[in-house]
Amino acid sequence: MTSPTKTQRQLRYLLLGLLFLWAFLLNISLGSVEISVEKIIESVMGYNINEPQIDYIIHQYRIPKAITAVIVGAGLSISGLLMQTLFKNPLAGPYVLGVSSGASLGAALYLMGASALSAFVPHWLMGNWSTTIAASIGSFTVLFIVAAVATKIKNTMALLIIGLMFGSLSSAIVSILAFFSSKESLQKFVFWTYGNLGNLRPSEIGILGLFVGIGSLLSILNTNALNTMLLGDDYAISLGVSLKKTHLIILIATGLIAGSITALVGPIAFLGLAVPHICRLIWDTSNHKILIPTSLIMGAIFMLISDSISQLPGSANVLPINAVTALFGSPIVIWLLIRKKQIQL
Amino acid sequence: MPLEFRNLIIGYRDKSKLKEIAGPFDIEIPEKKLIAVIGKNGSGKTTLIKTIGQQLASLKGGVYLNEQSLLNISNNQRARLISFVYTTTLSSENMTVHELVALGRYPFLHWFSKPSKKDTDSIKEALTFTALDVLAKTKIHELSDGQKQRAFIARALAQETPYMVLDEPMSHLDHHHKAQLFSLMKKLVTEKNKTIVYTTHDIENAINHADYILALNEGESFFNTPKKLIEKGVFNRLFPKDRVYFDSTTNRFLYLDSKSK
Repeated sequence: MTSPTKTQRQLRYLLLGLLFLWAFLLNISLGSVEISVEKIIESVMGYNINEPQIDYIIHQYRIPKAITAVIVGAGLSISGLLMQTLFKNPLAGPYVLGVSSGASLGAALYLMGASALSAFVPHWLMGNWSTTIAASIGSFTVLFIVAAVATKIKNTMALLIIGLMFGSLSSAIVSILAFFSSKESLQKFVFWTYGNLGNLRPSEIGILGLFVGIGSLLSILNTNALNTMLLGDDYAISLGVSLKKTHLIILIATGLIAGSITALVGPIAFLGLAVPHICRLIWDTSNHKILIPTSLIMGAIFMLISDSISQLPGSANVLPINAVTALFGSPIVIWLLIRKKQIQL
Repeated sequence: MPLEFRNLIIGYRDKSKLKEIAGPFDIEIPEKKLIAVIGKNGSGKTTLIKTIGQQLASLKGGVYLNEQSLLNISNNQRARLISFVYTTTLSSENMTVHELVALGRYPFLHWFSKPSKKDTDSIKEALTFTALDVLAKTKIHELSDGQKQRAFIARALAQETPYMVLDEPMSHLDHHHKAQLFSLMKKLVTEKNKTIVYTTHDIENAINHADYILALNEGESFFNTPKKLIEKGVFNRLFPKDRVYFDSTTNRFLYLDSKSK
């Protein structure tokens, strides 16, 4: 088995680009009202003046949601890749650091413990943004603690365990909160955990894009350092890589991405774990020069298709996006693994 | 550009306690020579290598390169002076020989920059020198142990450092591949002007082929040419109470079996 040739790789890039375009248009066209591709193109170009309601749906709902899906899918995949490389563990995902647990705890404290808190929290904080703010505070508190710990210790295994402990700790607190909370607030929290791509204001999409953009840029700038980490710590040090600095950059990039996504969209799991593996298997490499761009695009495609599938029941019923990603992603990973018969980082 | 150990004591820090393993060494490593480090398990061979690589801090004294303590040299500068071959397994073997060797150029790259003409030339030369050019597109996990070891040496060679430090490069190899690797190391010294420090358990091989030997034993250390060390009877001190003795007429270790006793 030799690795794919240059032309084979280029062909796969081209297919990936076409697939992205198709998934993006498919995502915009599906929903309570089906819109044809011609109408989408006309509307985007500004020709479609006859049907203002279609124009409105496309510009106000569909395009923002599709852009959110692209940012979320790309962000989760790249942060999953970073975590797998950092922890040298194929089971790592964007949430192993515990940032999503922190976000969940923040959201839970707000949604289920709100009655207790409302006496202390200023009124303006209880508006539309509050779940997002609570989740952000939660995720960035955990990120801050993890980053502080990382500057003290070199051992990544200890970091992984600390992340897991944060996860257990916050889910314990969430369970206790859930036990004592009312039916309505529990339901609100459960809906939040399903994830929702469609509720974001343009300003929120901007923030999400900024954070995911910074995180992705940090990863791209550290492509070479990430590749040396595939050799193990001894070799990375011998090549002049400052492990503490690189670990910290990776943690900050992942924290910014996973933290902002969980806070704004909800704890969407799975994608971040699966997409890097899919890219490794298709491109048959662990080289970050290939894995970073392909994970970004593949993640976006995955999220767009998952979101399109979640629209399938039609009209008012939308499947939880969190369930769809795993439902449709797991069989793909299993199928690829059985075909290739082995997996490597 | 000499490599020196000045009053160097190596070991581990366990909380506030210091656990000395070997030293003090006061050695200037002769340039462009093949230097073997020998000693029993636990005598400090790997500790010494980790100390040179700055993964472990010395307990006292230091490693000096060109009159400068390695502590005062940046990571990147050090990576341009000393390259390493370790015994550790890679986190991922899902890369081609070419990709592995190309990583040796990391100290010369900036951020995510593309390799320059100089980089590609060094990679090509390293592959040719180690006779790996035909395997350039093969994945590491598909290589034999001997080929893997050569690929790691090629990676270190691409780093273009005057010093190469190898931790037990021959440990998993059969006689044929050992001989092949040894002649490669010799060639690196004679043709590429490298100074090579390597650890080994194959003392006989080191006596017969290395230019210098650093023998570590129970905290003691001896550094000289194999001939001088034989004259001083160092090799018989390495296993004083064991059933092994060094026969200086054949340069071999012989076992005392119960009969001859």
